[in-house]
Parts: sequence; C-alpha cells; structure tokens
Amino acid sequence: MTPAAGAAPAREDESGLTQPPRAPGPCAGAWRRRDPQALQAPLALLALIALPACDPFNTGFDAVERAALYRNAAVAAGPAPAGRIKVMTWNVKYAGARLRFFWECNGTRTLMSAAEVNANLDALAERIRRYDPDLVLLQEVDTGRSKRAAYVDQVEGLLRRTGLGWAAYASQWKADYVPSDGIGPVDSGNAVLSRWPISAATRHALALKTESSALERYFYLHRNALEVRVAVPELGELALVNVHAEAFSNDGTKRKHLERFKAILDGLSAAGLRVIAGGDLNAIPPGSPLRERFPEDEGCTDGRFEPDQYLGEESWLDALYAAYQPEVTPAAFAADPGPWFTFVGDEHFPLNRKLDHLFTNGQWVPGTAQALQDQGTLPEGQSPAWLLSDHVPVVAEYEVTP
Amino acid sequence: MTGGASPLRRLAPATATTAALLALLLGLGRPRPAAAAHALFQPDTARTLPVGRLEVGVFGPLRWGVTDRLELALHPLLALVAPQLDATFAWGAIGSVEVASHHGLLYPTPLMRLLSREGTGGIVPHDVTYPHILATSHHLRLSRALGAQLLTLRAGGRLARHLTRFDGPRFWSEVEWHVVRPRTAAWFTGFSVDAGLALEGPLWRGLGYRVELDGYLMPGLRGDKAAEATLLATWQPRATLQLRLGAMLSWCEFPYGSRLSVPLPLVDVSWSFDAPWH
Repeated sequence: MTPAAGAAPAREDESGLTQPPRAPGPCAGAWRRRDPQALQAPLALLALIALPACDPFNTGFDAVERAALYRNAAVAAGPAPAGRIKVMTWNVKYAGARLRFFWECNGTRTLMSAAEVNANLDALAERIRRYDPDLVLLQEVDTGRSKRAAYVDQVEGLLRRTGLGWAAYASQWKADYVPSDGIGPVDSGNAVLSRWPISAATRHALALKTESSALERYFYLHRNALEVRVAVPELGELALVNVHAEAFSNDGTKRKHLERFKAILDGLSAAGLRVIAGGDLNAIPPGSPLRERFPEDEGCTDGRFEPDQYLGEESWLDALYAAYQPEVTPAAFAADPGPWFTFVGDEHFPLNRKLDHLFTNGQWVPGTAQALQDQGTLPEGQSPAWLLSDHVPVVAEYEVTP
Repeated sequence: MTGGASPLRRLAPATATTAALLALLLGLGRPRPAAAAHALFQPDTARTLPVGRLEVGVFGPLRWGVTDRLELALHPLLALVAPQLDATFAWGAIGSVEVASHHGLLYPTPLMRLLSREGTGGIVPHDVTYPHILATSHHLRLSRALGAQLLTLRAGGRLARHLTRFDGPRFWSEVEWHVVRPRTAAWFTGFSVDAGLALEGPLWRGLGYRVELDGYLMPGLRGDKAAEATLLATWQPRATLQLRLGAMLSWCEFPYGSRLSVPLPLVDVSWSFDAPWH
C-alpha cells in the first residue's frame, strides 16, 4: 500500500481530482476562524453553548462529498479489458461471516476479535479471487475506525488480499462513539475495488429515516450511493454506482433510496457515460416466491429482532428494470428464482430471497450472470460464499462495445 | 463468553496495594510539626479542608476535613455502584510551596457491569463479563500562592490490577471516549501517568476563575496520549456556597486516531458546612 509496500494502509484524499465542492457543515470554521472578533467573550460563550449541539459524535455527512480513496501500490493497473469486464457485488457483513450479532435473531455478539476479522477477510478475499473480478461493489465494509471489527481496516485488507489496485470508500455509519449495545466507535459503508485507476469518487447522501426519534436518527445509519469513475484502458471513463438501500422502514425511506439510486444512474447515462451499478437494494424482484414470514424468522422469540417483509414493495424495482439491463430479467427470475437467491438470515436454512442486483446501461454478456451460492461441495480450502456473509455475491460480465 | 476467573492468584498484589494505602492513611494522618494550609472550595490543590468541615457538590465529591492533615472524599452516589475513597494528606510547606499528596482507591466493576447492557446506555457489550478491577491513584500536589492567586502543580499516576481475566480481547472492555479513556487506561495496562497545572483565584467580588491544563500518558494502549484544558468560572454568593460553570476541551488519541472534543460543559453547586458530629 502507498506510500510504501508493506507500510501502514494508505487512505488518500485525492485532492487533485475533479470533485464536487464540499459544502461546509454546521460546525465548519468554528475552530479555523482567525478573526479576532471571534475571541470576544460573548461569542466564545455562545460557541461553548452551541458547539455541543453541532455534531459532538461526528455522525453527519454533507449531501454530496468526496469519498475516501485507497491505493495498493504493489499492484500496477490492469491491461485493457478483452471484450468484457467481470463485475461482482457482495454485502460482506463487515467480515462477520455467520457470527450471530445482536441485531439478528437470538444473536448476542457485538464485537469481533482481530483474529476473527482477519480469518474472515482471508476467506472473503479467497472467494473474490476465485471469481477474479475486475470491479467489486462491496457493502457493509468496516474501516479501521470500527471497534466491532477490531479496528481492522477491511477496505485496505480486501484490497491487499484480492490483489486489486484501487478502492473507494463511502461511510454509511460513522460515529466516534455509539453509546448503545457496546458498539463504541464505528465506521462502516460501501466500497468499490477496481483493477484500474479510480479517477474520482463521490458520496451521495440518501434520505434519512423519519420515523425514529431524533436521538436514534443521529446515531443511525446515514446511507449513501457511492459513485466512482474508473479509467479503463482503451475504453475511457466508466461510471460505477454502489448502493445499500434501507432495510427497515415504514415511512417510504427505502423507496426514496431506490428512486435516488435510479436518478443518479439517469444523470450519468444522460451524460453519455457507460454505467455499471448495483448493490444491496434490500428489495426483491417481482415474482419472488416469499415476501414475508421467512422460514428462518419463524419461531424467533428474540424481542429485539425485526423480521424482513416486502409486502407492497413488489413493483419498486420496475422503473430500474425498465430503464436498465439487470443481470437477470424479472421474467427469467420468476421462471426459476432459486438459483438467483442471494440472502438468508440463518445459515441453517436455504437461501430464500434476492436482495442484491446489478444493472447497466450497456449489456451483460449472455449467460455470465449468476449468484455465487456455492451450494455444492467445494475443494479443500475453499469456503462456500453463503457461510462468509448473510449475502452471497452476484456476478456478471459487462460487454465492452466500441 | 466467560471470564476465566482466578482471583486468588492475583489477590496478593492487590491486597498489598490496599494495605499500603491504608498504612499511608493511618500513619501519615497523624499530626506533624509543620502547619498545613486549609481552604474552602479549593479542591484539587495542596490545601485541605479545616478539621471538622464538610463540602459537598451536586456532582462533586463529599469532602471531609478529618484532621489537620487528612482530608477524605467520596462521591456519595457513585460510591453505591463504584466503591471508592480518596485521601489527601497535607505535608506542610517547603518555603512558600504547600505540599500534599492525594491517593484514591476505586473498585469500578459493579458500575461497569451496570453499563454492560443491551440497547441505549450499553457502553460495554452485554455479553462481556467485566473483570474485577482494583484501581488506585497517587498524585503529588504542590501549590503556591501568587498574591491572591493559587498555582497548583499536580503529578502522579494510576495503578490497577484486574483480579479476574478480561472476557475476550481486552479492547472489548475499553471505553474509547474523551475524559473516560485517560482515567481508565490503567485498568487495562496496569498503570498510567499524568500531570497538570492549574491557576485559580478571585476576579471581582464573589466571582473567581480556575484554568487547568492536564496531560496523560497511557503506555500500552493503542493511542496512548491525551490532554485536557479546563476553564471554570466560580461564583461564591456567600461564604458557604459556590457555583461553578465552565467547559473542558479534551484531545485524546484513540485506536483509530486522535480527536478533539467539542467543549464539554462543567457545572456544579457546592456547599460547605461544619460536620454535625464535630
């Protein structure tokens, strides 16, 4: 990793890149002001009273801001793609594999040890390398600011282990300290890994939930869509959008997230860019056999557990399906949904719903899309994807056309 | 997860620490030739309360001038969940410098187990059994009057023994937050050192001030330095009542990097009165 191979992980602020200007936050400038007037006692007293109300736990984001960039300096840029680009999207559950966390049915865990995190990162990277993607869209990746991940920077860890050269990261849950369930410091979000240089990366804030208390909202997830521009040799600029939409809401937040995701894609398409997009949309395709009462949730007596249900949401992906090429069409999915399932909350049950999707304004190479369920027997040393997270990866090959 | 408890093996050093503290308390509390300096509403200095005097704050400790040279203090509410006792010994003066030593004993485990819970207020994961910890603090205090002002230098450190093992990796039991981290570092590393400089005095009528700078070193922690700056305004409307209002800024290194806090408010009201039994 930069600045030198084997040195501490680099997390670069790509100040030389073309990025949207960052709007000042409510506390911005309070400490940078050089005006002697600001030192006057009344203003100082006002600042003492007002500043704690700003963002004492550092949980906020601007509407649009730069994403963090990573560079694996040990790796050179890949060659020009030979007709196709291999794409993967995977919600990796912050390398928690199938450990049962407190938000899961009968879960107790909050924190992991460094040994657990590193072992799970090894297995996740092995599964990614086995597919050998050029571009990876990851959700639920923790950085070195997360206590639950033993302060292991998973973006850096996966970048190094997969042998890819560039990464961008946008946080969706950041707090200097979460005083609940022993979570403590946290920083978790979406990442894109790339074989080719990332020329720009932007974090687009998504709508916040409105149905919870102000305190809960303050510490709750601030979801985002991560837009990344990749400079692909002999192809030019490719735009990627990685999203992790709201999972639980009764106030329309999830729908707003899907609409905003599509609006970002529309803007990029209108600008004439090639677009590859996807992520954990927390939305099921029409024709899904189960929409509530999933088998693994039946009989769950954990009072804090909130089971998934998707009733009334069956059409929420229609606009995306109409405008973009999905890796599997609704018709193909409805004809045989099983192989496309990407999620189950309990590894003792079979995968039973599809939450993870890929879209493009170009074309997927026919027959290349699949959910890497790894249900069969694998060779020694290979872990099945369904044991490495509560999601499995979705992959497809993007057709490179002149 | 369970803590692999083996309290007896670790009890000896802890008992020795406690015994040493008690010996200090009993032995050094006896009258000595040089005069000790006393003052009301000057905690955290080399001055102790006059004999038979009590002071208590809403958030501050209950302090008691036991003898001419010994002051005891404890937080009445905190003591219910975190048994503790502080003792300040006045050693007299060396020239114009008043000398005192401050020693504290704390058993924080019941409090931390209360904070080990599900949901809001869960500072420690509920499935972590907090170890039994015995912590002490030892500081030398040197105060010097500069006209009406009082300058105090404080230096010392904290020692701690965990009597049972940590449940899981040690960092699962740590609290990575301003103010707490430098004061609990020794629970995890065995020791920490700190020093501070404070200046206080009257401003106008009953108004006064206190400014303080403190630095902490926490060897063995990932992120091992902290500093705090405190500015307090005091108001003493009558001889036996004091109000304090101010703020603290904390800079602290954490495992993920360093942070500067927003101003943390400090508010208290303290009363001083003669002990009923005196």
